[in-house]
Amino acid sequence: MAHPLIDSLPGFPVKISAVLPSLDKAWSDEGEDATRASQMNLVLMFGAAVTPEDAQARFDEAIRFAQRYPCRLVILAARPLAEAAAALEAKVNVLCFFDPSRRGKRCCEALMLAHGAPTPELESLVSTWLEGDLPVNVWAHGVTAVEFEPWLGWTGRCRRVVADRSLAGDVFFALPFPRPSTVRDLAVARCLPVRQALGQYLAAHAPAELVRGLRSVTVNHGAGLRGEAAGVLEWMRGCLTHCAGLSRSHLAAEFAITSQPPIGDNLDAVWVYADGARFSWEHADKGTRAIITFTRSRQSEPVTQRVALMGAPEALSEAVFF
Amino acid sequence: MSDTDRHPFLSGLSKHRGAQPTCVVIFGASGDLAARKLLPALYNLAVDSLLPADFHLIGYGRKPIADADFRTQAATDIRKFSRREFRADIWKRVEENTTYQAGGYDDPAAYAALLAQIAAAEQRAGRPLQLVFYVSTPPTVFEAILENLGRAGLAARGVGTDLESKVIIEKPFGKDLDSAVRLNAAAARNFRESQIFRIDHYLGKETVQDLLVLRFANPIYEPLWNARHIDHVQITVAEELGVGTRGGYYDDSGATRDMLQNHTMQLLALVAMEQPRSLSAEHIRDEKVKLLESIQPLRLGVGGDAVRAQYAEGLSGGEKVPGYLTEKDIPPDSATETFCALRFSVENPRWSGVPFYMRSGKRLARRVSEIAIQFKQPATGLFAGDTRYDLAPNRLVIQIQPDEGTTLVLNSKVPGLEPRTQPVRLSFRYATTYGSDTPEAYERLILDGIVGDRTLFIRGDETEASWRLFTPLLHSWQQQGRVGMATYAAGSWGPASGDELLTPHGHAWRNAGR
Repeated sequence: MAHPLIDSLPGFPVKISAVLPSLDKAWSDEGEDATRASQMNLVLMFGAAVTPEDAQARFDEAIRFAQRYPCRLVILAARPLAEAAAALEAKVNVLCFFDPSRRGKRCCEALMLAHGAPTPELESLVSTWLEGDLPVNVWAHGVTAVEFEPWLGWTGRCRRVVADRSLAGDVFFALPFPRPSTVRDLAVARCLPVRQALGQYLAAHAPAELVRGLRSVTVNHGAGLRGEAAGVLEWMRGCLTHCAGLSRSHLAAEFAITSQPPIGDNLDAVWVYADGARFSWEHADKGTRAIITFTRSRQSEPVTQRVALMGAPEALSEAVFF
Repeated sequence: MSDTDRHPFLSGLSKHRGAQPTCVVIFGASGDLAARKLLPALYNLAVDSLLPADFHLIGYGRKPIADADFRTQAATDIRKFSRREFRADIWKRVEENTTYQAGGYDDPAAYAALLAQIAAAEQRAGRPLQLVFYVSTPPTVFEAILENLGRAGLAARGVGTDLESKVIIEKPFGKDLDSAVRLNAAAARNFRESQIFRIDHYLGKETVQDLLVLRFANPIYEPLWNARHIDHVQITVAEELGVGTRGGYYDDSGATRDMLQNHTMQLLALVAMEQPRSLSAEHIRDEKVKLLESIQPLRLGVGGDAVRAQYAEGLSGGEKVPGYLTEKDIPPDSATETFCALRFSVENPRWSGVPFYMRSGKRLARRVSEIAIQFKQPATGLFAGDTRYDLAPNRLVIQIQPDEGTTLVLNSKVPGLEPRTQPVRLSFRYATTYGSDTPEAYERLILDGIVGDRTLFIRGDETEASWRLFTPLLHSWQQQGRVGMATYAAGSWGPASGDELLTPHGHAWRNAGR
């Protein structure tokens, strides 16, 4: 039974036993001018509920990532529980592009596998598809906690496990990962420019000034940005706690996320102080510009910053490397 | 600054992500370096979201240019020279805060106008900015710029705070020891050492940065990295091109000043220094200085440690090319060397008795910069002394450019029934592992300047230690004029006298093809 994702992604269907020889042949078909490079493995896992359109979009993002950070791309598409016993199905592809910095052709390779219930045998099969001795990074997209659980032991050998809290929810991140320090949230990675711009602004204020009389910190988010809001809130909580420690102040603020329509287009944050002072950050103009107003600041005029959330391949590289 | 010293709202960000709001002022903004390297580097930093959200750029130059024209020219330069495709939306973010200030480098009124431009930028940002001055002018005006930045109060801005002004100074840092000392003094009158960033763009190259990792993150090397196991070290920085349109500049400099005194000595220091106590800038630079100070003075004269030569007519890339003395802007009686080869001895317990050879030149057989570390071959052993075996000395070659990477030469059995061996290469190449999207040296160095990391910059005592080794040689050559100047055919690997520097020790230059 053809798997809809594997069916829709570009590549050549091959028998499982012929995957690696087919990959070699695909490379030789590209000719000697096709430059190959690889610094890691990227395993893109799709949950059973992922649609072909969504899978194609993520595949394109993974290829853009691979163009910048050459890697072997291994795509694992889970079948629904009802089809768990269906046969394994594989495809390979070598996708070439013009690399302006080398003024020549460079290619990325992708191996795709539709699979049923994860088993040790499946794990062994996947291990033979990976480039040995190079790091393995896993990007779980649309994979539920239940679908991912059987892979947990295997992730102990991976350098990074990346998922998006806005899609996967808190339950995914609560899984008992063997090495929790390797788990990264794409929603948090996407907000790096926010932390960077806001951090630089707030770093101009003394820690004591930021925490004195702080009563509440609220982050509001638009649809589909709960993970980003949670990431920003946790970052603010951590920094403010650190400020309180440095200035020997007591931090009595309440921290909350709301999904009320934000003042800005997709995310905003408001800090309220006991003396009526207020700090607000509005991410406006379709998320490309942020407006900061801090009535306690020496400069109470609104400050505008050009800040956009990171694009998908950039956020993936942030999550994989940092 | 360690992460624990940073403000809590920056401490979770990597050093490069937490840059202070900054205004970069490029002196020599209409020059070649700005067009080819500096502006494309800033653009690529913007692409990688590594510039601070509040980033301002002021071009400063003698030529009057309107702000709009400077911005347009900058975009043209980026389109032409950036390693990445131009994206108008990204450049727009930088361009919005880009202006130009025309003025002489010794004109106080122009510095007052610059001050006003900075104040306007701070007004737009709504807060004070860190000032980073990039001096990419001819060296004749370095001192004037440093003094005027001091007089205008720009050098002292924010000293001791996170917004401390910084100055990045291009090479050449002096022409000899006296001029380097004078320039260091001018810098020190106006800036603290912590504010001064003397650039050597070789240190920004990935392969050069990888030297520390190669040596100190791979414990297999350290037990072998000494005179007991290493026979000699060769450093080559060879250029295929001639002086081209830079004849005027080059004739005032020469191969020794242009390449050996700075780039090649940095490579030598990184290859030979002891392990620093930490990766902090000062610990690394302390070790480099210690190494430079343990190099013995060059023996001058015939049969000494130095060879100089000029290229004569020859073939380059199969085409006939003129000799140095008939190149444009070169005096026919020029005594400037286009090739220099040196033999250094490092007198410390690790390196006593190991020759370090270095050479650099123009119009050589091919463009290559590499460090070749040749290991000793034991006189006895299972395969030694048997002529059936073609045994090569083990050699580790670190190729800086082009085709960046590392090769280890080992001996291997040739497949077949006969007991034969031959040398083979274990090869790591950046291009086949990491692809080609590696940052340019200037991206790394400008960013390090902005965040105040001095690791990849040269300290004042470091440059003086290097000049101390080279100045007697350069002065001696200056006195000799053309006496003793050898020649070599363009497209060759240099003069015979360059080879003879190695032969008394039984060594030979690698002269490697691709």
